Order: sequence, then C-alpha cells, then structure tokens
Amino acid sequence: MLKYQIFGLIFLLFLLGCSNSNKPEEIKYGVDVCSFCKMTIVDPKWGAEIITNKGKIYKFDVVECMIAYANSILKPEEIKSYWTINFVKPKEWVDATKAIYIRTLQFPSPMGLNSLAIENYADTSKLNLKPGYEILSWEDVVKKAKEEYLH
Amino acid sequence: MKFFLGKMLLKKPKKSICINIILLLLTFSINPLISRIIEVDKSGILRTIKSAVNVARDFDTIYIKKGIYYEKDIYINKPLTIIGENGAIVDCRSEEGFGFLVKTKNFIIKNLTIKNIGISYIQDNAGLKFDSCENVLIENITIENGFFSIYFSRSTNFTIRNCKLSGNKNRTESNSGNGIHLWYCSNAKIENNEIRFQRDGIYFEFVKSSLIQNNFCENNLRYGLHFMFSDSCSYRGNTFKHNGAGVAVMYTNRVYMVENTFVDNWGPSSYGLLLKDIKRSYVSKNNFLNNTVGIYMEGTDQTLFEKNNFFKNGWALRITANCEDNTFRYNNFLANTFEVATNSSQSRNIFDRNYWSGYSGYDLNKDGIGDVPYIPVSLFTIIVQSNNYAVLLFRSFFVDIFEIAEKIFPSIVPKYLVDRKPSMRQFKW
Repeated sequence: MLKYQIFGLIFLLFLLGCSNSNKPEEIKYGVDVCSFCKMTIVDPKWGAEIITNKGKIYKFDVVECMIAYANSILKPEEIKSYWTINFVKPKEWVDATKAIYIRTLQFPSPMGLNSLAIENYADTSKLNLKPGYEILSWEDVVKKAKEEYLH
Repeated sequence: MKFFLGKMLLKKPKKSICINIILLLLTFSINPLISRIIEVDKSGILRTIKSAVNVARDFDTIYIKKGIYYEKDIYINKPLTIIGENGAIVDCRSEEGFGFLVKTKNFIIKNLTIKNIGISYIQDNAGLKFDSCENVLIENITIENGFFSIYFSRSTNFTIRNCKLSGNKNRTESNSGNGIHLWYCSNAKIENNEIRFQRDGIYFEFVKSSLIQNNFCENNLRYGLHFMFSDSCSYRGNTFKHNGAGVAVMYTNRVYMVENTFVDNWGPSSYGLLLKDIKRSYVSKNNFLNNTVGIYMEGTDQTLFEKNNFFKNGWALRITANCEDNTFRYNNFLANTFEVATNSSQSRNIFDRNYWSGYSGYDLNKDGIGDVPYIPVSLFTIIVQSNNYAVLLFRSFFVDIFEIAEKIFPSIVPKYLVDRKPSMRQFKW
C-alpha cells in the first residue's frame, strides 16, 4: 500500500514539475544576465521577463530590452506573457501589458528609455514626482522603445 | 644722453607709484567683492558646514578644520571653494540622504573624507551629487562606505582627480551604487582615482567628449567601467582588476581604448572587455590577462584592434556573427586556452600579422612571417561552443588526436577565419 502511495506522490510531483506555469521567476541580481543587452542585472527596480509558450523564461534588466528582444529575436506567436517589476515594490511582478508607465528624467532607467512601471495610480504617491513626466500605456512604451532604442 | 636716461629713470617710478596708489584705492573700494576664508571648527563660532555655507558669499572659501562633522544634505547653490584640513571628516551616519548636493557653476572641493552614505532604493543617494553644474574640480576626496560616491547629471567641464572611493564590502549588487556616475554630461576628465567595492566603478551614460585616465578599479561588484551611449570618449592607462563582470562598452561610436589593463575577471558571464554595438573605434596596446574571455564582441563594426596582448585567458576573443569589418593586427596571443571562438559562417573580419603561440608553422624564406596560414579557431572550440560540458574532455588524448586529424584534413573548422601572415616572433609592445 505504502508503495502505491509513494508512486502516487512521485507521479504527482512529476505532474507538478511538468506544469507549464505562467509565473515569472525571481531574478538573481548580480548573477542573471539580460538576454538582450548582455548586462548583468543589478537594479531591483527595473527587471522584466518574457515567458514563452514552451515555458522558457527570458530575463531582462529593463522593459526596453524586453521589447527590443521580443521585436527582433522572438516571434510574436512564441510569447505567452510579458512581466515587469513594480518600480515601488521591487519584489512584485506586474503584467507588463497592463502596467502603467511613467516616463520621467527624475528616474533614469538602465538603457535610457526612463519609463518606470507601476501597478496602479496609488503607487505614484511614493515617487514624489516633479512636473515634466508623461504617463504611458504598454502600447506607447512599445512604440517609444521601437523608435528610440531599437532603430 | 646721460641726462636723458636719468630723467627717464626718475620719471618711471613716479608713474608706477601713481598707478599703484590708484590700484590700492580701487582694491579698497571693491573690498566687499574680495573672497573671504570662512573657517568651520568644532570649537569655533561656526561649528557646522551648513552654517558656513549659509554665511558664505559667492566665491568665498570654506576651510574645514580637523574633526568629525555629523552632517548630511549640505545644499550648495553658490560658487564656493571647500577645502578640508587633514582629518576633516563628514559622516552621514548611513541615514537616508546625500552628503553634498551641488547646483552651481564654479565649485571646488578638496581634501575631505565623506563617510557612511545611506542606501535608498528610489533616490540615487551620493556622497557628492552634482546637478546642472559647470566648471567643477574635485580633488583628494575619500569616500568610505558609500552608496553612490560621486554622481553628476546634466553637467559639463569638470575634473575628478586623485579620489579614493569605496563602497561596502558586504553589500550585494542590488543595494550598492556606482563609484563615479555620469549621466548626460560632457567634457569630463576623470584621472588617478581608486575605486573599490562599488556596483560599477565608473559609469557613463549619455556622456560626450570625455576622458578617463590612469584610474584603478578593483573588486567592483559588476563592471569596472560601464560605458553606454557615450560617443567620442576615450579611456587610457586604466587598470580594471577582479571586477564581477569586467568592463562593458556598449551602444557607442568612436571610442578610443588604449593602454588599459584588464586582469582577473573570472566567472560564467564575465569578460575582460565586453563590446556590444560599437562602431568605428580603436582598441590598442591593451593587456588582457587571466580573464574568462579577453574580448567578447557582439554587433561591433569597423573597429581596429592592434598591438594588444592576450595572455592566459580562457578565450582570447569571442566574436559573434554580427560583427563586421573589424581588423586584428599585430596582436600577441599567448597561452590562451582557446584563441578565437565564433558562431559565424562567413568571413567578415580581417586577421593579419598577429603572433599566435599556438602556431606551429615554418618560415623558409625567413621574412618573419609564417609560410602556412593559421586558423585560430580550434576544432574543440566548436565542440565546446555547442556543448559546454565537453570542456571536461579538454587536453585528453582523444581530443588531441581529433585536433591533429583536423589539422591534416581540415573539414569542420571554418577556413574563412584565417591569419594568412602569422608572425613568427612575439611583438614587444
């Protein structure tokens, strides 16, 4: 009887291992390298990730690298989801296509697009924003990244 | 004649006396405009630097006497000179904030120690932070236990010289800042500094026409030098030793990299020098010693690599397929485990007259150039490239036989990546 239970457990673990989860993986800062720009990822405010349909995870140092990678190396049909770090809560992931982006020179980003991601407008209270910022949607950020970064 | 001369001699002093008197009067009349020296002393009238800055008028000098000053957020918005006595220390006590924040033209700071700068995840706190400045001189500054140490944004014409900057040994990449951080700056000169235990030793982003010279960057967590979008800059005579991932130069045109030393950058994603998207640049007389990869190149075009020494690296060069029109000449490749690795299937770069210690050809006409062309990509390099773990078999009998067979009947190794005139003798640069 015990044998069957153990087998069952192993089988369950096997299934769990196989499940193609749609959750981003934690970035190991100082170890992981950005898939696009090859820089070691160090800044916990800016990380981003792509999960493909096959379950492969690509890590990036910042959202513009993710967009550049998605538009130059991957095929659109390969990509399952885009993720980005919440700028004010550096341990939390936000769906990059639904995040709010604030573009300001007050917070320079690693690759110069300077567009930080937050989940909702309540998060802006922690930023102490000065006039001269722009609020962008995912589509705007993709457009800007293509124009300015991936020429 | 004598009389005439005598008259001249008599007349002249009179005139200069007159001028002197006028000048003296003038100086007295503009006395309030002459700069003063304001002393900050633990036991004096002005006991804090902040109070001295408040009292000071434009172009005054603040002299900080010996002692520890527990201050932070010292805000400077007028042209001043700040000089410290030996043993003058500003301690920020690791609280949130910066040491000095400067927004002015014509500022000089010298001989001062700044300690314990607080960590912030949102603000880039720094020991010395400059925004929109012009004509600044920073000299003999020591920063200990810094977050960011010296931080410039939107500034021009400044010099950072003879400074010793260090972060905290026990921090990780994500809670440490850069040693010298420049963002949207131009005409900067950074020389003779020592930078340790920071995230990136020197960080350049959107910087134009600047010079980095004779610096020593050691044990930084990520890069010794990190260089992005910074056209027409040069760095020479620097030493980058044992940094987390070496030196990265990216997305830049016209970079001049001369006489630098890249040593002991070991690790799975570590390089002596990482070049990505670099155009029309010059890499010469550099020493690459004991690095996992000497130079890793991606998207690098029209660049000349000459007179460099590659010694005891894992890979001397790794060139990806998107590098075009680069020339490698008069370089020394000595005792590297692998000389060149590439994933390219075409020849787009020129190798000419390099010295390869792996070359075993002959020179019958004795012109100093080997008669047999040399292919620096070995068979085993290709095997390792497609299967990393195969490196276990390196230097085994089996692999040696394969290599010899490949040399006699070349079939797998790319024939296009070839040095047709390999030098027989080592160059002395």
